[in-house]
Amino acid sequence: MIHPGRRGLLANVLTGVLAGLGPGCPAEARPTGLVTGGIIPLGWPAAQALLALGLPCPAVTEAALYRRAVIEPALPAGVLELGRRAEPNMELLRALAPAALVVEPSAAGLRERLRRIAPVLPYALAGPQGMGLAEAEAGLSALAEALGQPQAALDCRAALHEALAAARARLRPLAGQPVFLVHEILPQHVLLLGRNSLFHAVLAEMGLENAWSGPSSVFGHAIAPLEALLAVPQARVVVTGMPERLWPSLREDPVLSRLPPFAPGRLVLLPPTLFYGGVPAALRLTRLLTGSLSPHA
Amino acid sequence: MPEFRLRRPFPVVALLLACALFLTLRQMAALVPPGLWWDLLLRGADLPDPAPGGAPALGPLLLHSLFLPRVAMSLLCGAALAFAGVLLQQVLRNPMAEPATLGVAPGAALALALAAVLAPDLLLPAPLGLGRVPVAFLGGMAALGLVLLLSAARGFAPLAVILAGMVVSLACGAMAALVTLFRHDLLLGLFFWGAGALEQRGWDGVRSLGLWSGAVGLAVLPLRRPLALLALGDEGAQGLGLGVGRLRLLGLGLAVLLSAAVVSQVGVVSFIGLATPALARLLGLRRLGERLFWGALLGGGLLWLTDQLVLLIPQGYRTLPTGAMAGFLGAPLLLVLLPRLPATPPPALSRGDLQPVRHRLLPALGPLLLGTPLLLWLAMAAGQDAAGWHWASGDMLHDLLPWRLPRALAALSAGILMALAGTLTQRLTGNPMAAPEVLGISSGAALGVIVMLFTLPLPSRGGQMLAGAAGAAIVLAVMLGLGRRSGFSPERLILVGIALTALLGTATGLVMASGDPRAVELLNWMSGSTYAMELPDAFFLLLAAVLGLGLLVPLARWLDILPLGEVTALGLGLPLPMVRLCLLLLVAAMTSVAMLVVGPLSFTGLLAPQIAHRLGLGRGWHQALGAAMIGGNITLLADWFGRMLDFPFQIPAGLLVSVLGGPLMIWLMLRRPG
Repeated sequence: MIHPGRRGLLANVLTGVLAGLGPGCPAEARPTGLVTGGIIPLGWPAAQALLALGLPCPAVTEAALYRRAVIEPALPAGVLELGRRAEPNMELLRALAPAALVVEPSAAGLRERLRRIAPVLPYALAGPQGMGLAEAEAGLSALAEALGQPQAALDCRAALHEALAAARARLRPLAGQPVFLVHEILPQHVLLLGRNSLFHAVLAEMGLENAWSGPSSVFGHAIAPLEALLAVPQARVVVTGMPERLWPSLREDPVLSRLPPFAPGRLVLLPPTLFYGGVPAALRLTRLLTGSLSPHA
Repeated sequence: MPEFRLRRPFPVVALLLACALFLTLRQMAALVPPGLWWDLLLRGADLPDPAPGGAPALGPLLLHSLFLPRVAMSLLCGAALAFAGVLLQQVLRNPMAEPATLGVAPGAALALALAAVLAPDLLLPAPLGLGRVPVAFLGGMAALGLVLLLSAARGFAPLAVILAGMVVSLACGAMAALVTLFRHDLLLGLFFWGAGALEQRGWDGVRSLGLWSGAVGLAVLPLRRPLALLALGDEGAQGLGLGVGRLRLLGLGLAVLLSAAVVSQVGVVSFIGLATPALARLLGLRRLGERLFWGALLGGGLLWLTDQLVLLIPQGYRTLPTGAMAGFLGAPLLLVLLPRLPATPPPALSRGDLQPVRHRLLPALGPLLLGTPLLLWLAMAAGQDAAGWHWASGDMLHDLLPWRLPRALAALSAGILMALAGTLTQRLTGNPMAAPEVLGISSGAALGVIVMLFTLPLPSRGGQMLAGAAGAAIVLAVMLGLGRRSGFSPERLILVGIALTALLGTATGLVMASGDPRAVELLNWMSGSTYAMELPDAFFLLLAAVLGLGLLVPLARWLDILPLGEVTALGLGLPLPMVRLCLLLLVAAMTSVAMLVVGPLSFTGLLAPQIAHRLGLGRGWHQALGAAMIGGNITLLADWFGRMLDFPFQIPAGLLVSVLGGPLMIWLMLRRPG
């Protein structure tokens, strides 16, 4: 942990660093991609947070997968690959000589060794109750504070609340209707998002009801067989994590389309969004959902 | 102890089926009132259209499209797996043979994983792609083809087939694990397929499996009698004028066809294929035809009942696929049955299995010993960063050393320990396919760690070591208890190992299916990564490895005498029970130390002693020392390769040993003179 007293000092150092690295000197302009002295995120939510705050993100773990499964905020073109997220490459990190590392609680095991490379900034997304909007917003603000950019976080949060208000107004006719948040449809199962998930909070802010009330994990997800969804036959299904090329086969599946929540008109397929991605992911979901959920059905 | 046998199979099978039927009818009645069943049967899936505005009737749809296909699938899968198991055990004269040990399931899983990454459209349903079933089927058959190719030179001898199956399984499993480590977005789909989820979406799967099972059943019918004669042993059957090789090939092919069909539909359903043939023999069924028929009924009933029991768990908590559940129920069953199982003649070692090709000490050991410092230097100095390759020296080397040395030392020491443990087990059991993993020691240690990981809030490394050692010790106690009764018959020990390994698989599956964030950590650890090593860990490991090597001096004589057989050993005045106890304890200690730090590097324990032997290191301590240096050098090199191959991505050393070691092993086996 960084002491509060030291945090201000660190923030000063970092703002200096950022001034040198900001939009005036874009990371991708350098020929080898060798950026030293930047702030490096270890994990996708941390990368999303940095980018959403308008800061450069010189390197990230699993960049190719990020572009497929997280998508927004978009990674800059010259971003450097750090390796698997479970094992970010320490030798490479060391060679990059970062000014600071943004580390999520899930990487707590690495913290001691990361500290030998650079100061570690914590980025927490979840509280003991799960991943609500309040926790996500507090996490983002705390990170922005540590980076000396408190206003950027406030802007992000304002954008989210604006989008949520717009969605609530547009979807008023659907208020209180049940929706299953399905992240992935497996051959005979679904990965659902439960009451303690970030997307549940988004749904609630939009005035809709999460149809899944069963138990869910720390990350807010649960796995259930298909028939579990028939407990609320009048519900809609919003799919948040399946690539577009699979959509036709889902829409035309003979058994699936006969299950009421998956029926044509009830099944809403959205491009992938990271379900534990914090404020940026909540904003992306809000926008996608507002665009594809028709208020008159 | 008198042999325990239930004479009549009928009451047992009837009871099983009646229980399953009762639970099934209860479930059906909850979906559709019994009065409407006849109506539904006549009209099939054609449901009456719901009245406009009214709620659609869901019960009939659930019953017809989801529940009944699931029931049919559980019965069919159980029956097919049991049938295949009986057939395989007959053909291979080996109670350890089952679909999973022959590489069919891992081969199918690998094909699916590769297809999901390389050509995802191939997996889409029929009009758009090939579908999952044909892809899995091709993978399973390819793996079997490889197994048969490898064992052909030995006339498909039981031991050769099992050994080849194991090598192919481990290599396929490692490659599939590699795919999921890099594409964890696919993990969930592959896991749910892999663990035997019996849920169905419509009748397509049942129809396809039914057709395959019927075809194989019909084909086996005329082969019943010649196959039964295989039990006489190769010489006996040949004496009766049978083409043993060809018949064995045919029987194998049919059994695997059947299991590949099951695997491609529902993934791996553990234990039915292994436990049912054992049960059939316990019920006093002797003739092959009887065992096939009653075995299929028993297997079908067992899986049906298991599945219905799983359905009793409230829906939100029912995260474990039935196939994995069968493992939980089956492993203890097998352990209970084991001591009562009538002894079958163990697969005889063919000449040459433990005799070295040529005897040469220095030409073989010299380069191995010299290689270690060179490899260590390479692992320290050669590396990459964002600018490309570099050869570090001076200050740069000094800066990099804290990051590189712990990993290299840990890999080297763990390799040495696993190879030593492998050599000791192989000498101890006189069985070249014995390795700590085969005997369940590493599974026991891993189970201990898993229990620890998920019961204590903040697991420390010391705690993990203790938990692992406790797990290994419990396994050891079970083995000693069993061993005393059966005179440490290698066959029984290996059966215990298989049961425990299946339990470990089930426990791991439970973690994966729960979606717990610690699952990724576990997956990482199981793949044998040195990433988390710090210098104190590495020195601790090195100390253990040096100690292990030092112990070879007092052990040398035992290691030479043990493989000569019990009679010879007793004749030479060896206190056999004490010797075995000592070696087992040693093996357990070395295995748990090595794998607590770098995961179960199972291939090393299997491979290194074999290579040492092939290099001409025949005497006990020669082989052990050679194997240790081979194992150490291989894992050291694998760790370095793993960090370099796909930089900045890092491939865990344990996985890489399996992926590279598999082909090496296969090459060694292919060039072995017949």
